[in-house]
Amino acid sequence: MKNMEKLSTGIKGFDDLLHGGLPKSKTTYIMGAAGTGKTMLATQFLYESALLKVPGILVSFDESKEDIIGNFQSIYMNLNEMIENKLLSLTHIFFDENTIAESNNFTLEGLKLRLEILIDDIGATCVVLDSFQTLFDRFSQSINYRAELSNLIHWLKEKKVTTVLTGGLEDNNGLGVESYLVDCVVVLDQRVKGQLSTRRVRVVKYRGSSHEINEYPYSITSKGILLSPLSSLDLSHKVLRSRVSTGIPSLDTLFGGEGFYEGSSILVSGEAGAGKSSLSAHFIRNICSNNQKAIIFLFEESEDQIKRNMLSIGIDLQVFVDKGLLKIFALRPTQKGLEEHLLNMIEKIDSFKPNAVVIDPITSFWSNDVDFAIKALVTQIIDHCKMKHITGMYMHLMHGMDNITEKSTLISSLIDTWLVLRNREKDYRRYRELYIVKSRGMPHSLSVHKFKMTNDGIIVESNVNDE
Amino acid sequence: MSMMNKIMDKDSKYILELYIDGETFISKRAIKSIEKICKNELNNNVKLTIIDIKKNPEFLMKENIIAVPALVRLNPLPKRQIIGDLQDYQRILRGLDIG
Repeated sequence: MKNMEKLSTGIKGFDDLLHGGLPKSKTTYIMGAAGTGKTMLATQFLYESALLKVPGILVSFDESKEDIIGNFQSIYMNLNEMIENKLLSLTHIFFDENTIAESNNFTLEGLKLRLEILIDDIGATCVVLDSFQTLFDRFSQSINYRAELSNLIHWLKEKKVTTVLTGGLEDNNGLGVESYLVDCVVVLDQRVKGQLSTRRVRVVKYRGSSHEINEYPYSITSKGILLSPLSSLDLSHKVLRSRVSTGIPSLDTLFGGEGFYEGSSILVSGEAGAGKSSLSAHFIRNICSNNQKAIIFLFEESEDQIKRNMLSIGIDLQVFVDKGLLKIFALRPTQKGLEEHLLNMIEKIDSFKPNAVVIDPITSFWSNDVDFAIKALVTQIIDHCKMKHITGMYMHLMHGMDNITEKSTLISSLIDTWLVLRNREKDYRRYRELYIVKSRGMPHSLSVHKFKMTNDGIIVESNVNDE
Repeated sequence: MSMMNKIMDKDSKYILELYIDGETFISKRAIKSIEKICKNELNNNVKLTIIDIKKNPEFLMKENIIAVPALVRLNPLPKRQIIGDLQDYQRILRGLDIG
């Protein structure tokens, strides 16, 4: 396939879905119900283009210039600055009820002429009409409106501008913009599942180009539309050969005395109370004691709770928080849409640049009603950390020991080291045990080890059969 | 301002503007129709200005013109815009609040 010219949207993850960007000098239609972020996506595209000194115009049929500028101020995009530099122009064309279409014989020459003036004024090469639907609805009682609107789309193509049109979803009568007129169609969707609202984006068609065909989660954040990049999903990343201690000397010995590989991903499975959080606290303490940075994402406990609990085994996390080496984010998976959480996590990781990340537990994103897209996103976070050489420790909360392989195998291919913690009962006593399911690329213990939780932390007993 | 046609009366009750795009078939039909209405229904008690948008693009913004032909009633208020080639006589009269 011949490579066609594309224009970056400025949103990395979105460019990935489009295999590069929007079709240059052609027309893209962004479809979605109210509240899905069509305007934001289109305007973000103009803003990002303006940053690259590519001028564009936004003609809104819905919102006033002041409203648009105000909306984007709240996501830290200063449209005014772009307008002053002649890299952007905003125009509001409104229709009131005193405008009526009397007959079928009219043309949209007035609009074309106005667009031409606006385009020429700043030498725009990008045009957004928001929403095209409003324009469509305005004239829909006339017979020739479809012909006129396709005429307009053709005219924009002749002008060689990269155009983004926005609109609602097609209704049952097939009313909406005919998708054969445009080169690229993107659908934004918002749905509610189990009281959680989730957003999905899908590229429906892209004439002359390949594109991703699946639905992908996106989120509307304080920085605009956010989509997580896809490109890291290949396995070509470099791995580190250096090692990082588990933070527990007696546990290090089970890994040939050196601990984990730096930048690897570690899955820690166990029932409630098996000692998973304690184990991760040891790991984090070791990281931060070496003046490296770490993030803990909590989904079932508060920051205070974990600090108190870890203090009881002699680990003071507050010291590292105060030093600015540790960040703890306690989140509820139900607070926001799941994808928003996950995308926010990637953002936090990218801005803090930690050496280690703990997600406790990662299984919060794993319940049965969580769909494939979320699971894919979890995989992406693990993958993202690997790419950035961040050592990731992921807590896997099990309910009973029977399902150990079933759910974990979903990501087991991404996991380098897999530890299982469990409680055993014998003679009216409970014992803590741990064993290593796998640890890629290093010799490791194959025994089941007893371990103790003391005031000075975890102590793993060595197993005589192991030597 | 370019005026293709102008019918004036000092005390014009109606002030109308007809926006067209060149001398197309549709433009001519619209002009013919509005002139007939001015004469028959408004007794020429009207100030009608015909404006070619290509020659006077500045008027596009002023009267928010998108589609042409467009007949704008500036007086009496409120402003009103009728789009099309003005062939439905009854609808135009209703639109202009005449009769």
